[in-house]
Amino acid sequence: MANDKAYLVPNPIAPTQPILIDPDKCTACNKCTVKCRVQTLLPNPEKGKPPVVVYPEECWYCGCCIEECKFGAMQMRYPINQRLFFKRKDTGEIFRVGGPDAPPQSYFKPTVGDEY
Amino acid sequence: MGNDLFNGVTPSEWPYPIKYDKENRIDVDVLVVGGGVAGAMAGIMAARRGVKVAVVEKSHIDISGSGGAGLDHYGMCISNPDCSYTPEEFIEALEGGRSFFSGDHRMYIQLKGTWDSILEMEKFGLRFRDEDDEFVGAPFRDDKTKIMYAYDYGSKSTIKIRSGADFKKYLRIGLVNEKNASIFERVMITDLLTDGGKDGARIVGATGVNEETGEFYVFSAKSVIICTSGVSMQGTQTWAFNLEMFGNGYRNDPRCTGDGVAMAWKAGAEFCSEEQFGQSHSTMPFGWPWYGIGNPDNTWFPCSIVDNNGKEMPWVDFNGTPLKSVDERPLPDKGGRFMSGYPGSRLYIDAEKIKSGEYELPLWADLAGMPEYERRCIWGLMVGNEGRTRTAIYDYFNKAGFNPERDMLQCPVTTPEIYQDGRKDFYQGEPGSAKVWKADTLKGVMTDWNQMTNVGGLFAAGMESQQGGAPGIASGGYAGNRAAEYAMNASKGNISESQVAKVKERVYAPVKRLGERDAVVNWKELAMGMNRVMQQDCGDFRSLALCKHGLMWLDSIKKHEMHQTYARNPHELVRVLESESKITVAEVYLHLCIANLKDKDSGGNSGKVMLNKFVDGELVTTYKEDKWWLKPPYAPTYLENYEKCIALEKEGK
Repeated sequence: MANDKAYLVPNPIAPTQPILIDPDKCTACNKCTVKCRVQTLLPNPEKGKPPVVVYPEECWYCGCCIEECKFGAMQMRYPINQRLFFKRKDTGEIFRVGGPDAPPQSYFKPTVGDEY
Repeated sequence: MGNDLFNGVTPSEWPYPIKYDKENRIDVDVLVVGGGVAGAMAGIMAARRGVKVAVVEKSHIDISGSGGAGLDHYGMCISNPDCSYTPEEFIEALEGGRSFFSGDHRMYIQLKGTWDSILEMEKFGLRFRDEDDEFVGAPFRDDKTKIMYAYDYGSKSTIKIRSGADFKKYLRIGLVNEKNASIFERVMITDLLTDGGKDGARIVGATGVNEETGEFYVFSAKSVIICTSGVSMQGTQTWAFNLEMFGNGYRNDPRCTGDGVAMAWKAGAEFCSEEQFGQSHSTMPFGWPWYGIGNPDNTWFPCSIVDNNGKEMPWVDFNGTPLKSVDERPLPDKGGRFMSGYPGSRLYIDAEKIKSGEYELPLWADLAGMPEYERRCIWGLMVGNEGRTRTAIYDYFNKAGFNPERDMLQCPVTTPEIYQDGRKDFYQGEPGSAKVWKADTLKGVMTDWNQMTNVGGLFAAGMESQQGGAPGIASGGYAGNRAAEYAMNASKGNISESQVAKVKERVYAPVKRLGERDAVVNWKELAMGMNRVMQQDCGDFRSLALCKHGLMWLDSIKKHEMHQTYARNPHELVRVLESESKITVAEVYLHLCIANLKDKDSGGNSGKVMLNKFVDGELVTTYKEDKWWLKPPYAPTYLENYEKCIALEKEGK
């Protein structure tokens, strides 16, 4: 997007952007839209394109859409005011979930009973 | 002066075919309204009795309802043979006032049925036993049955679920297996239909609208079970004065908009009236992601909590007996048979020590310091499977670098008193400064031993009849059986075409007036208007005059702004209809408040059960004797009544 362009559009719908979709990974199968209880996501009217996050302010952050995506094309994103700290017990270091210097993932166990 | 429908932006095409003019007619024996945990099981059990069933769900059964995004424990499995007490003993203990539940026949039905229902769920694929032997030797594991118990390891009434994140998927498997059951998804039931269209007559069907295509449905049925949860008991989102960024902080499915309450009220069903209203802090938009904050309760129980300098907070039981080790925290009260109160209330944080600086805030949940079996259980089993946690907490936090073996998660900051009281505000993370209005417990539609309301053919299950959570599944299955039995003996009702036409006119009005000059009210504005009424007139301080003022205000909105709503697509149409449901629910609350205030003014009828219904535009208050469910025409014991009700089912008829 060129930075010398400006658009006549309504304000952001909500102080959040709960779901990010990677257009390179998304196959536009729209299965995620079926599993959204509030229709936060709807199929793109243009066939073959990723779903549209059309009602972000209604998102319940349940993650059902992301669990449905077999292509790893979707990512949840918490708004700033939902990101708390954690403290590394042995070093005393403090990080914030999604913060600028958060450590790399070091815990990889699946949840107990994960099947789907 | 015109109404720009699109804020100056060129809109895209709606992605589904629009069929506002299409009408579907479906004829069944039992109609189930809502496909959450109670509704899905109601559908399964009714279908097994050989009657034709339709389960109608507003979203998708795989994920719908407050249990649709996961479930980490199955409560009240008291009929489990290893549980240390009986349903009768539990009800007796409730009457001693040591719990937040109240004991009645509806509670008994779920206490009897919950264990059977989890075994049923196991047949559908749900796994709650430690088959992989991951937790061998853990104090919550029974080595014989491989069942893992939650919260109170001594009394063995609550069971941890290993694959609960997919709970509804298993329920759907069960429902799809039933050839007599059909599923309708993305259909909101809007109105109940009465026999011949007459007010107060028995229920013979319902109407619905599809939120993708906008098409219309007319269901005819001999009995209808309302399983729409929501505002009936934990109506926490009823009037938060905020509709934006609502999702992360609150617990109930946002689709729980009180449709069932509204429909039942309009049909003349009786409601319990032990309501609590007012400013409260709980599960509201100022909160934190549920289970995504450091805390000692529920899914995180019995996690150690330390202060900012690593000092551990002490634990005590209900009687004040210190609990010295981690393993003592989940055991019954000393000298008692089970744990009293919320598990997390066993953490005792002295407010004075925070004020004096002995304890330094913020507090941290010390997962790293827990024994491995508890850490893996809290983070991997419970947080891994509870509602909205597998992706939104477990996966999200792990990816963000959180490591439960090394890290402690921050607890939300609140006032010293709230920590000391062990109030839910602490573990739900609601800042003490936020003033939110809510209704705490409207105990919902009253049902009899068959889970039928006073309205013929109208049944209720799940939270709708005070039976929420996992035990709602048991109530759903029970109601499914009873509604099927009712349908077997009922004649086919008479759908009134003029009633259908009237409903249709109301349902599609926001679409029809789209583009008209005064069609300027969107669904959010309508809901917020109702919020304001309730904040003003149904808050902490209430009076007869204020309640009547509130009803007048709602009536004014109904007569004016409700006729200015618009919907640009089926999504908005359903949201308008849901907002209309919420307005009716608000009226129910106000009416119940009036009944309560009048009751108090007249000296009160303590000991009696007050019931309220709305007939011919008037509130009708009646009283039943205390424990009426054990008095004639009913048998004197819980067990006798229960066995009588399930006799036919047991005989396989």
